[in-house]
Amino acid sequence: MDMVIGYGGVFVLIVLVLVVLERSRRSADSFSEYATGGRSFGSAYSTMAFLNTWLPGTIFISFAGYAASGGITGFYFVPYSLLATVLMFLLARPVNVWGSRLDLRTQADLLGARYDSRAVQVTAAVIGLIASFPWVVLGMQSLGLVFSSLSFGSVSATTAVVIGVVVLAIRQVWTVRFGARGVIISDMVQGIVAYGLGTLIAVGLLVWLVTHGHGLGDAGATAFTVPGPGSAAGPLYLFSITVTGALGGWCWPDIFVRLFASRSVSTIQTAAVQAAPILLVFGTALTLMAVAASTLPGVAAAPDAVWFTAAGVGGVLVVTLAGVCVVAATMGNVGANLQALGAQVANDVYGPLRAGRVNNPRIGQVTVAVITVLGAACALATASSTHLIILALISYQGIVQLAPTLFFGIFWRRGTSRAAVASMVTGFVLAALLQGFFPDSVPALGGLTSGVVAAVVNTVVYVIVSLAVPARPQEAQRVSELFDMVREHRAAAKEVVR
Amino acid sequence: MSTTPRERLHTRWVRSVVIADFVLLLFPPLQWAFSHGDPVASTLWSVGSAAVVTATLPLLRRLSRTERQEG
Repeated sequence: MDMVIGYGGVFVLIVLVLVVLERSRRSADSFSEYATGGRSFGSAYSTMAFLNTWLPGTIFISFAGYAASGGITGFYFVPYSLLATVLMFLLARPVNVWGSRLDLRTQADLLGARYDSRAVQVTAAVIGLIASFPWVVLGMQSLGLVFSSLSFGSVSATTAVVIGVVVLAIRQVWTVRFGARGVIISDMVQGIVAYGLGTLIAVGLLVWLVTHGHGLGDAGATAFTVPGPGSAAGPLYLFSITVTGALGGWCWPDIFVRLFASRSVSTIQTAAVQAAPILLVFGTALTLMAVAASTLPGVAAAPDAVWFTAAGVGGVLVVTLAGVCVVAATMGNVGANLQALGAQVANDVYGPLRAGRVNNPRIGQVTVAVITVLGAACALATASSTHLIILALISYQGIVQLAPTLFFGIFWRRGTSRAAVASMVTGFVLAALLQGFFPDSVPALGGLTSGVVAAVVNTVVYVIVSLAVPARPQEAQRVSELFDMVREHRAAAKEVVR
Repeated sequence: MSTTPRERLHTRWVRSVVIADFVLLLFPPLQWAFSHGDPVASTLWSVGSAAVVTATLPLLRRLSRTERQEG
């Protein structure tokens, strides 16, 4: 009976999402509309689309588990997420203006347009695909713990992973059919469940824990000590993982493409203002609950299950609701990732290979479907493997190598295509090499991670190449016109406000 | 469409607020100083600094004074 309630809760959520999707069905007439949702969404949808893409289901599993085992250091996802909203605010105008005026559909498309370079476009797309694919597979597998917990002991861990992969793969039929519009509309439902209901559960559990002998103080002094001078991880380790999250976050294709779906600059900025307090409240409640729950029996042995272990104090119903939150967050993240990667492969790999712009939405549907099938096949083939998480964590060190090309490209007009390709390739190769020698962090550099060290070198390469080999006058003029487009938009907006 | 002194001042404020946000949440000595074993100090610093950055976003919105007719 417990399992019926547990799996029934997930079934109800999925049916709810599918009903909302079917009721809002609108077919895409063009590839651009399929990839961006017609650039039509207001601030509420933009806020939830950002959150549901930004916070994966594993926020309740790996991130909560990190707080249960590592204490307040596990709070680091809140600062990096907030800094990402600050960056979102700054990115709003150039990305929206260039996106709408140049009909840009993906992150790699924007970089290709900014640098007027197919090499930059394809390199960025390939790095994004290589770095993101392990997360697609991991996202599909991450529901294993949910279906195992909601079976209340009736289903083995491997079978639970298979159930999770199959459920997510079936759910992607609607992602393939509806594209970005479907992803964003479902994000609203999934986001309310994941972060609204999730916050309520986390706060409730925290109150229960604190009033039943599991106060924050009981977690011990080490739970409230971050790696500092003399620590094993190194004094700059926390800085490293926070800055990687903030800068690297905007390098993920699925996060960035959400900016193209918003109606206007103002919409994106409002979404950033609205997302920040939700991130703060949800992240604080989840982290403090996990730290307090670290003294519960069984949590030290299996910290990643802390969300379900703590929910267990509320019985079957609370465990079911906790599982539904994870499913809602996972569906949003996996769907967004598949849709963005499929669109990017179609627009930035297939298109350039055919030497033309992709306009048929069917091509996007095919690439999203192919990546979904590949992801599900890999997820099933590696269902009992524990190595994928390592690959996924390494991918963060790789994706952050797009940051100099992305941010300098958007905010500095002197950056060139040669600099972009040189810096991306240098950064990606260096990060891979360093990661091989220093999987956690580089002790000689105070605990900086491979990704941050490579990103610093990558930035130096970008600036030196841009200054040493400046763009030809014709190219400089073209880039200048792009930046003037943004400046004129700002000036015109202020005229209207006056 | 040249920028006015008031607009340049606003731009400078936006930059300052963004830099302050990054320093507040990233500067390692601040993290070491407040998170060294005391649950109250560590929690207050972690949540408090995040709350301050959250509060700066409406401020940035106000300083930017963007095209409200679009929203």
